[in-house]
Amino acid sequence: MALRLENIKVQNFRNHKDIVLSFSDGFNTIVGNNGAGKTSLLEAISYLLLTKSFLTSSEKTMLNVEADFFLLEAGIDEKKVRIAYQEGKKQIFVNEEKIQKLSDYYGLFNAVWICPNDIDLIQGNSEGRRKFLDRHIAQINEQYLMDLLGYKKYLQRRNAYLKSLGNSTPDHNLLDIYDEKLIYLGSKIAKSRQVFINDLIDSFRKNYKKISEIDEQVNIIYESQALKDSFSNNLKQNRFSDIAAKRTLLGVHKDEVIFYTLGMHTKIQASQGQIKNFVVALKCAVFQLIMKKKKQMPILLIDDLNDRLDLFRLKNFIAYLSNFQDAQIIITDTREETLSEIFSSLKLQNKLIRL
Amino acid sequence: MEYSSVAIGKAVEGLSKFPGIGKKTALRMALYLLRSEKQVTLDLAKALVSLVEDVVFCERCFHISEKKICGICENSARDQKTICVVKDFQDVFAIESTSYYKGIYHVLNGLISPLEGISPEKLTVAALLKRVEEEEIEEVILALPATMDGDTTSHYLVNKLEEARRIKITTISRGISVGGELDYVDELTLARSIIDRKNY
Repeated sequence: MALRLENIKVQNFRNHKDIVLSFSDGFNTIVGNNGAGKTSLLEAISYLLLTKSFLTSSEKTMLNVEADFFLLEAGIDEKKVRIAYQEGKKQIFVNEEKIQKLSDYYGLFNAVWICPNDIDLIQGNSEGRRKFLDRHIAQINEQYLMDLLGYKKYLQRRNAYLKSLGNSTPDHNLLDIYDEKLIYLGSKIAKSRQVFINDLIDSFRKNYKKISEIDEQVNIIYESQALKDSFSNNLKQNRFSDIAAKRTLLGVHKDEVIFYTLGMHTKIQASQGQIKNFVVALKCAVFQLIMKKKKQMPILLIDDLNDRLDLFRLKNFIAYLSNFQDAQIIITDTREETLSEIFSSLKLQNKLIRL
Repeated sequence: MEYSSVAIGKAVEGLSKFPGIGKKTALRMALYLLRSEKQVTLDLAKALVSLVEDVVFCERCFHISEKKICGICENSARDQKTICVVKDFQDVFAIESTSYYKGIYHVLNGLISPLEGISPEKLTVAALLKRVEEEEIEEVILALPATMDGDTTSHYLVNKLEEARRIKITTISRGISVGGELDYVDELTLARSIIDRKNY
């Protein structure tokens, strides 16, 4: 079963004062000149589905400069969803019923975005890579979010305690308790992350081959101290370093994901083109994994397709996307004619939305 | 702001120190006291003085008291072999109002909470351990909040108590409130209720 975004109403969201759009099954392409607000619309869709933007974590920046609230409404899978943001607070309603806890809404609808910022996954810092893991694992594993929040809270407390110590003698009984929680939750988190990468790797490699049209060897390695059998001992042995550093130096909050192209670090050795192909293949693999695990086809959001791929690969990529059975795919691009030609030559239905 | 009276200014200053009370409400309270019958305000003032001078904390259980040892600890009709450990003295009032508990108490004066700067030595943990070692205690009931810091504190106390002496350690049960509908209970509470189910 595929998730369907039927229509949206966007008010005071970035440069959109008031706009209503409807979408069809399969491909939908939002076209318009630079600055017309294509990306903002896709951002609004992403926010409606996931309460997350692919550009920012601050709702304030999404607010139209002249307004003090924004309102998003959508028909999704025959449900009416409304998100209102005002004075730093957001309220979510599904079929006019208010959602009390954000975690109750999260996971109701699934979507994956592909956007120009994705290259930060490879070029940026490790925190971005951990966020990538966390976001998508939470989409397929409800317990994961609970474990992660618990881990973060215990870590905060342990660090606050270490910081408060100064020159006083540490209470090892208390640290033992925090360690026990961090070991238990940390190993669960690390296992989920390893399973996620393992589940992803085959389809990622297939996608990469299709999208790049070269049979280059690519790999993803997940590294975590919490996966080692000796983790619990290591954490104990490291306690005095932690006390000196006033923070916890070992654990899943230090995990790393390393990407390889042709046996070398993608970050350092790969070309811009290789990096783009890498992240597109990775995101598509995430999409396929959610589809498989949730038994509900997520919506694929692709921002600025022209930035992703050159014309030569564009046609192949769209043909490849059409293999995602009946998934709804929403694309933004500036090249109306080029895209229309590709869709008609591939005999694919596409709803064109001009801004 | 000018109050045109130093006395009102001082009263507002004092009243606005209450948690949740701002300057505006404090002014309203001060004016109310000023307009009330003189005796009402004087009685309140006396009560406040007595609060500071007469109320002390029980040396044994740290509950509010007027003597070195509080009325609950002194009461020989109460079970002196069972200690109920609570976060603060409001919790003693709460449990007392049920009139179902016949033992004595131990007030921790907080929970282990590094985020608020509360480490174990700032609580009355050492005094509790001393009581368990010196008095003829048979059971310690942990009645702490079902929060992350509450759980950490319970866990910490269990380890410390077991180190001190072998006694029975129990914790109050957690689950669905009386008169509660199952479909309104959050999943964690419901899960815990099922795990901790008991014979009917």
